[in-house]
Amino acid sequence: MARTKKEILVENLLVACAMGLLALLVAGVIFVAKSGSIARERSVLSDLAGRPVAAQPVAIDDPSIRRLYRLLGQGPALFGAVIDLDSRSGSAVVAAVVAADGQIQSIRLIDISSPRAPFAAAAWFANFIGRGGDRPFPSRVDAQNIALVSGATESYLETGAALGRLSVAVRALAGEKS
Amino acid sequence: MSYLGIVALSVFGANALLSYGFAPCPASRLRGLVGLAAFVALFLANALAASLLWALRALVLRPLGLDYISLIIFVMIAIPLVRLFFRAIAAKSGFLHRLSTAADDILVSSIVFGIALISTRSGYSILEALVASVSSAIGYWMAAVLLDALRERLELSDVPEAFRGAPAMLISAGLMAMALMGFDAVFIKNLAG
Amino acid sequence: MNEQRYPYVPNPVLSGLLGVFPLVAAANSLMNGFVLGIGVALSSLTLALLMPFLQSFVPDRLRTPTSLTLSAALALLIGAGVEAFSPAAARSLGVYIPLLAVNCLSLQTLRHYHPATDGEGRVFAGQYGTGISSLLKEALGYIAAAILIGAFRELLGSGTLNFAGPDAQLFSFSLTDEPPARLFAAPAGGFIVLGCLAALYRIATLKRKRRGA
Repeated sequence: MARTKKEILVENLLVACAMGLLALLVAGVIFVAKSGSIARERSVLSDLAGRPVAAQPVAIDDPSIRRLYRLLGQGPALFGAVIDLDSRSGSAVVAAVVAADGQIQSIRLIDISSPRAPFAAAAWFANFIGRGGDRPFPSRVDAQNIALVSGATESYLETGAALGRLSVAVRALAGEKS
Repeated sequence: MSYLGIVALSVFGANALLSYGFAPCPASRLRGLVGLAAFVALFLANALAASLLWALRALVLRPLGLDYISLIIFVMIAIPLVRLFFRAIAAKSGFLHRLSTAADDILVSSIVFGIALISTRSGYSILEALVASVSSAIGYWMAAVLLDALRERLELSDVPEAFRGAPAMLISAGLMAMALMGFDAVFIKNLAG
Repeated sequence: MNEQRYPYVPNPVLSGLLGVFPLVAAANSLMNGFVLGIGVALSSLTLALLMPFLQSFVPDRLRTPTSLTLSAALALLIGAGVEAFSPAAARSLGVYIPLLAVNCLSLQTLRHYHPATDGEGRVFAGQYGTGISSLLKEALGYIAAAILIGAFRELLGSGTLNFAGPDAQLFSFSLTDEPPARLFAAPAGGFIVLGCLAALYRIATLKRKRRGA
């Protein structure tokens, strides 16, 4: 029996609704799954900064910045961020505390894809603390003088670039607020 | 990055076939009008899919904080819309018919999905995403045609039995990919801005 | 299917080059290979198990978009699982987790659903036979190939072999202090490793054929 146009339309709508419900279900499951990892990140940031973290993250349009929070409590305005670092040798997720002028206060490694990735080196992030604000991030020339960076210059510069973007974003946010 | 830099990166540095390894498209072996239709279908499908995904993410998903389900929304909305476009321009025969037939295969493939996801994730504006997706399609096609030419040479060569066909092709693709490794983002940024 | 065509473990990746693309680019470590292998296998098996329901409730003309949506949903859920397991591994795999939605093994499930000869609905008919058991063989073969490729590339590209759980390093082995050949961690090395493994697989197949002949 030939299907009428109306029957075909109803069929299409029913399938579309079912798929829409599936999308909602998936969104719900992922939201619950993400809450766990967000709670972990917030605890790391709070521990790193020694201050509580705001309940909601600040909306930011940089793909490498996972979440950016204002830090609460007494003292100068601080921001905490969880950022992704990528290089050919691996990936890492780090937590960073940034002052309102964009200066990096502290950095902690949360997760790393491989222990041989350059980000795993003990003093890798040491040269970035205190940068941003008045001090620029290390350039290619600076990187060449650091023994630790040998063979991983691009990863080092990518780390500087990601932290630099974070620094600029925080300065813009702090500027908007004041 | 400048538009020239985006083009250079998408065609060479982040080549869809040799750097990302998206599925080799048998349509690249087609010659004449059929081959041209397949290339145009790839070009248009990528441009439309990337633009639609960018629009969905920027205008709907990110404001609602739902960027993490962009894939399923892409499949439910963008892919059917692109398919509708090709159905709308389809004809019973000729170039447009071949175009819509080629598009049907290409739309359910890693090349369209992959290029759309990569172009819209990189923090690009819509124009930059469009340029990146179109350049990626061109780079993919270029690599596929070169590999096809290599395949024809290998078929005529005396290759050990164990390496005949796919193994030799894969190793050749690896050597080509090695040549493109020098075109990384930093090099292209220094060259093209 | 002729058993003698294949060596001991029929392999969709090394013989048929099915679902090769994520392994070439993203399976550059044991961890990544494992995650990709499990992801592809889960995705294709789940899709195959859901196919009878799709066939009953969804008209044929809507089967492709529906199964693609299902596949995308599975890819997103697998991505959430990988993110919970290891955020850095999820980042390292990047776009290849969403691309599980269009992996060849899963799409093959769609294309190779045929009416059964006994008239009882459709069955999956892959390259190793019919039914879920053949799909299981393909899925296990894919996982094995993914782990092998990832392990080789990590050993040659970084000189180590690591497998980390959510909170601790489960397995770690160091071959050399310095990476022997960083090329193998890049996609170029992936193509070369896969080509060599496919050649080795073919040698094993030919030897088995000659022994059987």
